[in-house]
Amino acid sequence: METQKVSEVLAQATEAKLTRRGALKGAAAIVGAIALARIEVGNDLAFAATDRPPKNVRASFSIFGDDYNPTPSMVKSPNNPLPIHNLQVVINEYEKMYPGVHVSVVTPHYSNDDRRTWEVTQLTGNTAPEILQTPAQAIIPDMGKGWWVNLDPYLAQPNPYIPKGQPGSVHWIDEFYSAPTDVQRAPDGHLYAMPYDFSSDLVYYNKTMFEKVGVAPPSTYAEFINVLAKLHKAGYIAYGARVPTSPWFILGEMVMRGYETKIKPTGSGGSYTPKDVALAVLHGVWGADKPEYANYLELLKEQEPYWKQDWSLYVTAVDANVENDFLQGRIGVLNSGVYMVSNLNGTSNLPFKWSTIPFPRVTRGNGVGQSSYADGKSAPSNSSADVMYAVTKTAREKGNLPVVIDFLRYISAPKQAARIINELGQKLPIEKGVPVPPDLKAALGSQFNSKGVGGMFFYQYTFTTEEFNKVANLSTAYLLGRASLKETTTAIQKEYVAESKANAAKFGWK
Amino acid sequence: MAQFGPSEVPRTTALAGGMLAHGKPRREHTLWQRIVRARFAYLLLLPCFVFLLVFSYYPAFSALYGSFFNFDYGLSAHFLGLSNFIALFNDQVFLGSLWNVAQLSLFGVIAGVTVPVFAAEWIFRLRSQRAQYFYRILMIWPAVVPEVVGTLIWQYIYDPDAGLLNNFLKAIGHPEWAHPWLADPSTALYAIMGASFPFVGGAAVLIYLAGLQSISSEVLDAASIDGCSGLRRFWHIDLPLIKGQIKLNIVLAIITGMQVFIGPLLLTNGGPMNATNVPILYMWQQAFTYGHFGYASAIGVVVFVAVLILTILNLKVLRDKE
Repeated sequence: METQKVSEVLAQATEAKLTRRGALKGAAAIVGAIALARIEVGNDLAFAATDRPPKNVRASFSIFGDDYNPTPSMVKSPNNPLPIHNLQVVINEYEKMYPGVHVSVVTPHYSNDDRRTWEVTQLTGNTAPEILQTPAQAIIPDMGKGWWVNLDPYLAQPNPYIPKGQPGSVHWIDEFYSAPTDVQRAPDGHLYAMPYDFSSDLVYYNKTMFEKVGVAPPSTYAEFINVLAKLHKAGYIAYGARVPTSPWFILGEMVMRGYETKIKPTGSGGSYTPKDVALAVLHGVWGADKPEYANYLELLKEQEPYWKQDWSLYVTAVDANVENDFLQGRIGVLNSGVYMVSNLNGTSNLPFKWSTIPFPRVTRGNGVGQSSYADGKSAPSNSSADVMYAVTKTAREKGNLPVVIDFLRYISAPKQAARIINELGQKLPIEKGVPVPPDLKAALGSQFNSKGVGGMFFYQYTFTTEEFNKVANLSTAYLLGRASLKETTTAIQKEYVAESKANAAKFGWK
Repeated sequence: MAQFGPSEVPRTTALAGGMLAHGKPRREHTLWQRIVRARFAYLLLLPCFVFLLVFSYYPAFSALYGSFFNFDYGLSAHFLGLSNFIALFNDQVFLGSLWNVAQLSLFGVIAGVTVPVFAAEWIFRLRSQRAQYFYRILMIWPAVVPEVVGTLIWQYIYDPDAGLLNNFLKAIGHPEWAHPWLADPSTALYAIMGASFPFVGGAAVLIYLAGLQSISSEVLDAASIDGCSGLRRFWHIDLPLIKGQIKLNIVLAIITGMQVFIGPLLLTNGGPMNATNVPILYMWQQAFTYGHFGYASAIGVVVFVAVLILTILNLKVLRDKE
């Protein structure tokens, strides 16, 4: 409406030869329109609370959709093995619904290790996309900077794109499975990134290699070590992990699970919040100084001789080559994300048969691969939200926050989420009402309500990257025989206490 | 030659002496007047100085300023005085990185200064001009390939399972020598040193070659007549006469060595367990991975001071010896 007034005044002024008075009126109208626009965008919640944006809403913003970014082509080739485009399809629909809105997809070029550098540079330079896929852990060090928008107030509102009566139609947050969502909350209790899908590690194995060597898929940790030893002896790379520390935490959780009967979790679905664990560490109830922690490290060391030889280079990063090694039939057992299922299914002429097994459970005992602290129950999952969409300060500064939030509501509604997430079928949808890919349902379908990384041992996931790296390096020193067990647990406990103290002071935990 | 009387002093000579032809003192122009007169030249120089200020001096001085603060982009900075520097010299990772860079630099100086001398001497002694030209080109050719490419090739060479090196060792019947070269903290740093094989920097060879070519042919002829050839000529004639070039290459090798970054970043990312971390990589990690920009600035300042001191000492020692 304001735009119309401005254009009318300008048109009149142009037609009737621009007089001084006309020019002044025009300028006043422009200033007034800008002021009104500022008032409107300043009130983010007022707009977002409405049912849907008005049809004539105008905005232009960008999204880094990461795993869902459309590929340059839909033609499958060795350089484009998994073509996708449904995010762009959904964007086109949204732009058709709101012709004044333009959404562009950003594809940054960085290697895995440079991701944070790219993010910091974009956010510092005020050029970050309005919607940025980012792990919740990466947001923790930025708290207090105003870089990320707290999404809780928006998630408490209805999602107008979800049909009435379905989860999320009253409170948007209800659309998401609560356990894997809540563990992504920042230490201050807020959600700064909207979970979009969730994933978990799976243990893949080369069936053909197992048959050649004459070993059966293991179900216990003791059997697992035995199998790895035989694969190693046969000249194969027995074991590799994309993120070497991921399976460590599953093992640690199994050995230290006994503490979880003594300490009450306060998170939803029985998960522990960073506050729960920090206070347990500071009160001396739980930590690396316990005998169970030392036992976890000993169990890890029993397995180490069979790992891919250069694992120590990737404890603070990601081994990007290990999946390729598995695809070429060089690795016997691979620990990686669920997305490998579709990668393996999508690889033509795979020279071997493959399958998955649950992470081996630790049995009680004193033999190799056994623990006197284990309960013998099945291994926990490390499932958690994977792709997470955070809204950056750019949205607030450019005044398009309400539309950006509305766009997130649109793409997370089951109809759109099903198309985007299931296009490749690599991950589990975290939105209720979205069908689960059949390949994944069997292996992971039960994890929707599991606490996943809400277990105590996964506490390290909420550490700052610096602390996380320190603990990983200290563990590595023990595994490579460069530090004693006592030295290692003492040093790790020091880091746990330091991190817990820092968080307790920052967030006022008592 | 033209003869001049006292009153016939050429005008240029008189002007150069600050006197006008009639003997009155020349009117000195002020600095501003001289700038205005040469404004076109200054205008041409301006972009160079602007870029230098913006991209070299401003970052350097802002890092010096920032090293006294605890700052992270997005948060307000707090003045810390010398705390960052005190913390730095109690930081085991930083101290370890200094030791690593010292070893890398020492190796870089030895290998990067000596091997190119032999390469240059060998090219210089070739009789055929055409062959000299060919090998000169061959030496400089690798310089057009980005360092990153060479480093990544070495990553594959060192791969513990599929790498060329381990497979070669297995092929010659010594599988027990195969090793995870980059992943073992005790060999990783040496593996990074080895990645600069064959240690023949094109620029260093050209510098030496220029020095050798400037040796007077009379000296070489005299040496030849006196029966001084081969290694004796190299040791007693060539080497002393390219001392200046050796000095230059030592200084350059130290400066480059202290700032080494790409090799450790691409081959090991400073790992395993910081065994190959170097100050510049640690500075980058502190700034962009951990968000400690003040601390990172302090590392930058320390490295700058260290390079400056080493360069001054180096020049002084070499000059004194002369």
